[in-house]
Amino acid sequence: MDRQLREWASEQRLETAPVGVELFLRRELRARRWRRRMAWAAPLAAAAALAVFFWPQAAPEPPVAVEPASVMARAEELPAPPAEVLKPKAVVVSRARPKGPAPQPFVAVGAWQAVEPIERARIVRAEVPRATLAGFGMTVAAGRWTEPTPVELLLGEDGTVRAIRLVSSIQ
Amino acid sequence: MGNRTDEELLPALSQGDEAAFTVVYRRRQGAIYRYALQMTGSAETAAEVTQEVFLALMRQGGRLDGERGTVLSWLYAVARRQVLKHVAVERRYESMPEDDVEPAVDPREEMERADLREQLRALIPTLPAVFREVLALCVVEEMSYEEAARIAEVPAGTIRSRLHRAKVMLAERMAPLVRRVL
Repeated sequence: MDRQLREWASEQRLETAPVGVELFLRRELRARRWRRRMAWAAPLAAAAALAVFFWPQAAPEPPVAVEPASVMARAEELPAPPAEVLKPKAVVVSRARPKGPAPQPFVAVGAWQAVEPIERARIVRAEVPRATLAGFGMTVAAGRWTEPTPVELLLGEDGTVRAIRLVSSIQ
Repeated sequence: MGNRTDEELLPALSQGDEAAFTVVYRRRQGAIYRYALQMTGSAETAAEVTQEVFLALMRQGGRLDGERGTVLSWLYAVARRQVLKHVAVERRYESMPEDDVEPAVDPREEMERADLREQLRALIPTLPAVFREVLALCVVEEMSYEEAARIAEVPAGTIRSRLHRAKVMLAERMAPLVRRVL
């Protein structure tokens, strides 16, 4: 009986699983590896999509905050000021800031020193008589009151002059 | 990679390394398939069991502790559970107590026309599953009683007695044939 069992066992040892089993398992292994990679890739893609969706749009350009005492304006457009407010002798409108010495700080005009900063401002270049500068409270040398002097006027939203600065120093 | 033990290949297996998996599969598929074949008597079911066993290795290989037991014994344990499912469905494993051994089919008619080896091959599948299991483990795979006992989850003494009884049963069933042949 033992001999017959040994012979039977020898025959049995030749039995192996069909090749298809190995092929199936290796294919499944690759699929599992791919699914494992996708397991973190999918949430990552979802997170990226959410981030794009909720990402804040380009922040709006902050409004120009104008301090009454000292103002540095950035506006490039220089529309003409209301004539009834400024009464300039001549108004020059330019899109580009002219070359020359660095502009001086703005000086608040009259009652505007006490008000809140304005949200929108325009800068207007003009030539005004020296008497007008004195009227705005600026210190000017006596004499030649009618001589035009180049200035930049800071206009508020309502078109009123909020501040003024000299384009060049007054002799 | 081929000269590394199953246990040394476990880390690579847990990473889904195809080469490591292939090494373990080719090294162990035969034993698992033969075990399933002996236990179920069906090549198709044995292939299915083998596939399930190695799918389980794919899924759970990373959690195996090589110091607590061998990969092979774990594979056998999974195979055994799979086989028991099939056998339970076929109502062959539990419905046949060890002391009430009756072949599912009467092999006598076939035996008259076949030689002893063929008769033995025909008789073994008619044995109860517990005896087929011990033949698969101790005779085909040449395991020690202790190794087979760990897989079959019974004491080594039980394995020894089952093997003895299996041989006696086969001898008794083959005796008329042997006498006829001689």
